[in-house]
Amino acid sequence: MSNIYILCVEDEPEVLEAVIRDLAPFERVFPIESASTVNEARRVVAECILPKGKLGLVICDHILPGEDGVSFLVELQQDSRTVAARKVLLTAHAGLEATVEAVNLASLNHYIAKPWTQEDLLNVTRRQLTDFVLEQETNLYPFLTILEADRLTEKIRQAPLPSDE
Amino acid sequence: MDRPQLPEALARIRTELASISKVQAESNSFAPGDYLLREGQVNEQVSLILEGAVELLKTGEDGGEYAVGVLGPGQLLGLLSLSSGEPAFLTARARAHTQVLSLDREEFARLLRTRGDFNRLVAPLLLDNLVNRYRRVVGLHLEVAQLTRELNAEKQELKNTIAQLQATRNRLIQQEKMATLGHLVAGIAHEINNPIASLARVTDSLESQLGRVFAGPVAAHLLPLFQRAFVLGLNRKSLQTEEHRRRSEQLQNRFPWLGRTVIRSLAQLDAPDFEELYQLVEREPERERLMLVERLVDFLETAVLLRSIRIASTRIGSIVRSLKNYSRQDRAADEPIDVREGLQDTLLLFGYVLKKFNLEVDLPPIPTVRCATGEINQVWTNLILNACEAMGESGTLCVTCGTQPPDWVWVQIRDTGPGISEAVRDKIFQTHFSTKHGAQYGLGLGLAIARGIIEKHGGRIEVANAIPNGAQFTVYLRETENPPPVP
Repeated sequence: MSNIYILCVEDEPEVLEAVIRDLAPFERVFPIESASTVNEARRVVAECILPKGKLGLVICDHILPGEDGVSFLVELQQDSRTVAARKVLLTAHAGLEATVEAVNLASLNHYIAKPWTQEDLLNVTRRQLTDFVLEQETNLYPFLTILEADRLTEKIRQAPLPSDE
Repeated sequence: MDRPQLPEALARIRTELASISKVQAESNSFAPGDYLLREGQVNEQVSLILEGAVELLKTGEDGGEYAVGVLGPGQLLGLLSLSSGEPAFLTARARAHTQVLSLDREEFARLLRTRGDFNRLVAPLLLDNLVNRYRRVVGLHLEVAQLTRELNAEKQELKNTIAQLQATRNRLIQQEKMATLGHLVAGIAHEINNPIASLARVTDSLESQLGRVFAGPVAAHLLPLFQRAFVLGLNRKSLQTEEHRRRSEQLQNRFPWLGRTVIRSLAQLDAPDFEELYQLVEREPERERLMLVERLVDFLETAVLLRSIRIASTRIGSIVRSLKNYSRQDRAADEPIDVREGLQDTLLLFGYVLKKFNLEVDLPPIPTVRCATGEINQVWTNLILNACEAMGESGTLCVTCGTQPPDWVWVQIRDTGPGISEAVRDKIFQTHFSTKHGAQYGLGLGLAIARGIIEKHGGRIEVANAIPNGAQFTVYLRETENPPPVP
């Protein structure tokens, strides 16, 4: 099994730290990478994530210096290597236009408003990663203890047993 | 007198006059345009119009001649002079071929008095004349009253329209200000939301973090290690994500037995500090090292959380301070101020709008300027938002300042947008001129308001196209005059 990464993109160092801290419970299975600009995020995906595994979830700030988060999510959506990644927008500035754009073009999966609660962030992350592994992974057992176990077991039960083949 | 009887009556008067001996009645003819009488002239005659039409004119106060009526057959000319002996009150001019019968006024009066037959003939005419004139006077009064009423109504309407225009203009300016205020509020919400989010998360994390710190006893000889970790965490410097990643990779390679979360925490430490701590860890037996490092990280993280609280609250404090400075209601309108402070505050408060762009700020010290801080900050806000809007999605915003002899201070805001075409350059400061379609940041009154404020402060604003592209607005304000020497 290759690593499934979580990527956090946020330009405020303290906010980025808080996101990563909140997501720490996932880290024993899903390594977390971070970036503070879109440019850096691109490099991290290309150099640190894709050579070693898959991008499973992106949590991206909306307004970033230079390029905004939505355009980065759109870019990931257009790349075959990252199209499957679940995309979450984290924002303090809930502009309707940007949200619509994100939903339509980037197939945004979820939208988190700042300030968030850890419970929310964990639930969203758990659901999105469950969706990702259900869609992308064949062996679901490693995720049973950390993701939504009921949905995973349901899928496992439906799958034909190896002896059936 | 009834009109059909008129020719007959006139003929009889003529016959009657001819029959009276010693009466010199002149019969006179006038071509159109001929004057029968001029205003102010001594008039010794009374004339009976037999046929044609006579126009009456009066000179107004402005020297112009105004038509005041027309006399026709059967009407008398010179009645006023007849009764008062005063010079002619009106000018009379033939409008058509006119024939009159004229009599000396004294003769006319004498005949009226002495000759019953003459009196009988002329009296109805006189009465008719008077009635006609009286009617005309009454009619004129009514007309004047009507005109006055209409004039007043129009005046009132005009007044209402002006008031409405004024109100509309004020409302638009108010709306524009509200639009800017809306942006300001959105900006503050955004700016304050990050530290708030950080604070909220830190407080939650602190609970569990402190729980871990107090989870077990600390051996006395290890106390310095944990204390040191705590102090290093408190004073940690801000770290670029790339540098943090580089350090994490190095540490992970060196300590493959440590989890990513622990590595991430340790990577916050500068290399010498980490080595200092790790030396202390290495003194302990190998089997205890993992537990030690994890505890060390608990202390370190607790301190980092406290540091985050400090940073977030400092940040909120500076936003609030900028906000207070921005509007500056507590300062006098003409206090000498350093406009650079207002520029910095504006840039900070609109940080979320500016994030998309490169920002080049070069603000060397300049003399102070006497102005109302809040108003002048509105100028910077409008110019900066305008520049951002012109640039759209990306570009560079330059904010610079300087001085120009003899006593000008200037501030320049330059963008790399499309610039301003020659055709519209004169119009951009007009109320309601806008190149924006469905303007993003306001109604297009921003520049008009900015110019109003600058001119109120005795300054001026100039616009030019920047090189190689974009627009540049330069605001000139007079530096504070030297205070008068103390006697």
